[in-house]
Amino acid sequence: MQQQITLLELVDRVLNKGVSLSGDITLSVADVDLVYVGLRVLLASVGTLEELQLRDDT
Amino acid sequence: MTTPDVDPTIHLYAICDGAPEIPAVEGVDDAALEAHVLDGLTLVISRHDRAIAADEAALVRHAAAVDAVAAAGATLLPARYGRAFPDEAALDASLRERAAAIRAALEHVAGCVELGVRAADPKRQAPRPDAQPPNATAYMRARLADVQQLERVAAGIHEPLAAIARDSVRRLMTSGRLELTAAYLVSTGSVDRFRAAFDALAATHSELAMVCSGPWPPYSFATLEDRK
Repeated sequence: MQQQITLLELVDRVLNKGVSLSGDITLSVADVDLVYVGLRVLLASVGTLEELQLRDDT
Repeated sequence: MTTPDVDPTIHLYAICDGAPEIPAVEGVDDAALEAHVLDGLTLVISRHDRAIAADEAALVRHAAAVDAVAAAGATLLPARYGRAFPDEAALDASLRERAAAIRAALEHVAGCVELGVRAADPKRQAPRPDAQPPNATAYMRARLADVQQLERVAAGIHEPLAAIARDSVRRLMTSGRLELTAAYLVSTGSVDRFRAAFDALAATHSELAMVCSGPWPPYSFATLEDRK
């Protein structure tokens, strides 16, 4: 689960943060949505933050 | 050699201060990293003969290349994924448009890494419009009190961590439950102290799921449009 959260954090940073110079935009909104949908499926398949917390408590 | 149907592009990974060593790692689509020097800055790029992918594997390769350059000791601003430049002239022109902000941001992040914090309370229930007391004013008061309570909890997490950091950004969602997402720019010498402070907060807030990620290159502090 920690690994999946790290991936979510990574994708969030790479797509939404960082220097954005005025080059040609090569990602469409649909592409970005697909990456996020992929991540949400990945996260849903392994649990939620709540389950991470429960695991950490045991 | 190019053919008429290819569309060459330059992909940018990071903008570095000075002339750091570029590690021999492969970037997106297995392309070699190159240094492109301009006005005392080094741009880490790769060249492609077609549009690069927008899948998770490509994003991870981009991030790994930025990590490798940062690990080699460069002070850098990571580039946002998803922009391409047709040639070096277009890249240079784009860089020069924002050169002053880039130099200021490089100075700001020098000697620091980014640490990310997420805190959430998945079990919490917000006041519901149909719950008792059953009138709009009482509901709004209950909702306001709920949001204020969430903001107090978030401040209790964020402020001690921000005090250790050179800079910080935070986003707080209070739509029924707490979802705090924050990034902290922390000097490399203070990372252990930051993690210890985070661990202490996580122990205090056993009702929350809390995660500290990083160290990252300073993605959240390289968004030039946010700079004051």
